[in-house]
Amino acid sequence: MQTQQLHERGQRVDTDVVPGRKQKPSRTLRKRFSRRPSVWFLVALGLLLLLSSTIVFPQLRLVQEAFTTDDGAFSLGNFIQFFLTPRFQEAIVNSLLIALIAGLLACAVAVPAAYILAQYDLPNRNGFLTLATMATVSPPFLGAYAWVLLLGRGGILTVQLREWGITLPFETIIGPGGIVWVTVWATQALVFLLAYDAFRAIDPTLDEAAASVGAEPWRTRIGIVLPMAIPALVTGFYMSSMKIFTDFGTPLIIGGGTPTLPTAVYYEFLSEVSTNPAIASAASLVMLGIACIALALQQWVLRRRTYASVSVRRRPLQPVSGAKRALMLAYLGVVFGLSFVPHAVVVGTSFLTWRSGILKWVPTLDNYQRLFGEHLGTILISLVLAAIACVFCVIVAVLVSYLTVRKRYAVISPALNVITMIPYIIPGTVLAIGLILSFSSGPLILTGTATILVLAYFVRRLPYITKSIEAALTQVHPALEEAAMSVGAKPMRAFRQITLPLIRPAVVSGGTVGFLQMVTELSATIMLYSVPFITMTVVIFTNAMQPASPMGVASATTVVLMLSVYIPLYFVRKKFASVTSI
Amino acid sequence: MKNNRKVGAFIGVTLAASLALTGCSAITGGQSDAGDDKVDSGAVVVYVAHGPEVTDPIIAAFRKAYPDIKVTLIASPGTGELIGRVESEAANPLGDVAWGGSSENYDAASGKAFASVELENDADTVVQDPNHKWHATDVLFQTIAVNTERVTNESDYPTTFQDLTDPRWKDAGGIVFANPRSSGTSYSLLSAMVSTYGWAFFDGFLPNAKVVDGSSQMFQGVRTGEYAVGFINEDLAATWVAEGAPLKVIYPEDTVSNQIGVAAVIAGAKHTKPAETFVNFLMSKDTQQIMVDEVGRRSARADVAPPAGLPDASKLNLATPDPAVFAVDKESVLVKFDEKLASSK
Repeated sequence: MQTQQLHERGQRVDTDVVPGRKQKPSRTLRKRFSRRPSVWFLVALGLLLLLSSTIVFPQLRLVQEAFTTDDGAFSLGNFIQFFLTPRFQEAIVNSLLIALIAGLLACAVAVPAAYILAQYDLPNRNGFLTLATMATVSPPFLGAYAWVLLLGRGGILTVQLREWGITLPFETIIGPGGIVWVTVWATQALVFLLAYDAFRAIDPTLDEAAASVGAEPWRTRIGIVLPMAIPALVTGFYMSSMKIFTDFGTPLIIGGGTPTLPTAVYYEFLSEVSTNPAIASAASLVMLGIACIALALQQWVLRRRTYASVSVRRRPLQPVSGAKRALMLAYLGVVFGLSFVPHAVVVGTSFLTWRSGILKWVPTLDNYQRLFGEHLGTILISLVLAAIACVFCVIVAVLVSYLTVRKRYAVISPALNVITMIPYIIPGTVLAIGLILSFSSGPLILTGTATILVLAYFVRRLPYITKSIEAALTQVHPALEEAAMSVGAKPMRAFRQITLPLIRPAVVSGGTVGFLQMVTELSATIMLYSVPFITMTVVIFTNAMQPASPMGVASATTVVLMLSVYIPLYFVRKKFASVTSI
Repeated sequence: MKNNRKVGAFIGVTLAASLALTGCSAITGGQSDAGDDKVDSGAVVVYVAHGPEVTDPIIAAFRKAYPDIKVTLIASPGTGELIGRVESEAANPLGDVAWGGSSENYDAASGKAFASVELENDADTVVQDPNHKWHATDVLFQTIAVNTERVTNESDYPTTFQDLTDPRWKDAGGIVFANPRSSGTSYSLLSAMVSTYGWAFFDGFLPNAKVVDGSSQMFQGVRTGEYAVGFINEDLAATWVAEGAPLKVIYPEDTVSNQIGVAAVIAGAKHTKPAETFVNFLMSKDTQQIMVDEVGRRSARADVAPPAGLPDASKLNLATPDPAVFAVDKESVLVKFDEKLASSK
């Protein structure tokens, strides 16, 4: 009644919630809190300072080198040279095409899978979700090499299929097609997790409303469910295609010489033959520019409409049985099976004999025996360092995404957004060099300590965790917090007690994926580590460094590392992100 | 409320732990300021770009010879990254020795990266650095490798670089060649090819070749049969053949490209004396014998014979590329290669 009267007078009411239309906090609320400097503004400034000193400052020399030519003067010469060089032109085109195609395919595979698991009552859901989290991390090295072992010209599968008379449509997986194939299965889990959280958070009353006016299930799916999940889908596509765009390990192993931008840039920085840091820096800034354009697009899509719902009703799981259920389980099985091929190959090869880097079909436990004589204490170091970095990461990520989604300060929020994404673009090795140069002398010496490793992990994984929380936050309507504040809660309290619990599944999801990726991080670690802070990945790497190195021990160590992380992960997910909670 | 306290406590523990970590600087092998200048005691931190198959036997021998010097190995993915790390730590070097890569890589590094030191065993090596920065630890020759499962007829095997320009290789499985931008091994091969035949060589060679990134891809590519022909360092090829890989190793008759594997003392190292002891040890006769017998690499000393099975250097036509052309301005060499590559497609 009161609402109607207010509406007649032309005033908007706080409880007006219309999905699809942009909402801003009403004038009365804004006036109430405009007198004090908002606590969030202070938080924003603090974060800007922190992130500038840990992310922007160490990479400043990149900017400096990019804009300086040989005579030290400011110039755009490096950029011009970059765009005019044929091998870089080819590399940019290849990288963009591969990233877009593989990103789209990853979404095409992951989104239906996420929808199936989110909508229907399938057995062992937690198992699937843990599998998805595990699948976001491919074991270092051997992961990409696994596909070549299987489907290279002399690969295990290729040879076997040829013997059975089946010819594959390709002679070997090596080539640009191979890069797309491998990266799709490597990144689909990222999209899956984001999409799953989004589908679970959609207000079920919308579905019921659609059904009550006679819409068929398919119409509801396409007209309501899919659009409401757009933040996560767009973010998923963005994260997966950016990851593929900046991946230099996979093209190196499977590309067969296909020029890609990250590989070209990497060698300009660190080739043993000839380096050109100026061009490399310019190229890095170009990559960063492309990432910023993509980020702007992502933000634009997310800001056009409101995807949030006020209701906190749990979305029920639809029962399904018989052939339909079997089909769904089969699809999920195929998707995750293919994502786990690298892991399975690593496990398999850890039980086989490797002689000077050549795989022999001789089963053995020797790899494990050698491993247990060596460096198992390093697992603890890996886990502890990653845990510390992860806690910091999650705290900062939650705060940054809140500022980006809710507060939208004119300059600070976009600045935070861009700064947070910078580490996603820069190769880990280059990032590490920036950290060394900044922190090996002067007021703060961090080289040789464990802190620089924690810092590297924090910086490298911040982008992913921030984005996944941002996607989830977009689905929480500001009205909920405003309701709390209108009964007298301070902003921070409203945030802690209302918003945080609602985004908890995404926080746990993003945090566990970030943790996994930190434990398996190598490229920055290898440049920064000092005794006694040796992580497990360094041990694995040392045993897989050269073509004739003891790969068997590397395989076995990878398996032990994966187990030591996956098992606790399963229980963490069960406790904190169980599907029986929101 | 309880949850908040738990979370708060957890965060508090994390902060405390991280503060503690900040205080911990690296313990680089029993850091003791007293023992730094003694020759045969203390610690030495070695940045290495070799795998355990090279370092294990040699470090074991060092520990026996100098039980009071604690060796710490820190691995690098490759020579480029090794030198990158040394140069970026220049303000505060954490390493003492750099071991791995070839002499050209160290010549190209900044002048301030490595210390200029004359060591006792330098005189016995086959080649010395005029600037006394790098010290030769082994010698590598590059060979042509043929995958015998893809090239079944023995009479088809190439015997010279010139043979590789024959157009039939294009359809007979291709020749894998690492991009010289990313591979020092390939750069050596390129220098040998151009010194002997000039740039026109690539007009015939590149149409038959598949250019990949990184030496490992080149080595693995020919071993697994992805390509019919490739180039492999002689010691790796010999090891693989001994393990039954389907490879035929051929030393080209026209010219054999070669590299000198080296080690160097890092400028401003915290443990200079033990570092010099270590590098000197790498060049000693006993260590070089281990290099030959257990690692399978050709020694850098004139008085140590090559591993069994590898031909004597005097029987080979070793390439001697002109440093003025190939060492001074590598970028222009690489740009010329890029042009040849682009025009061959």
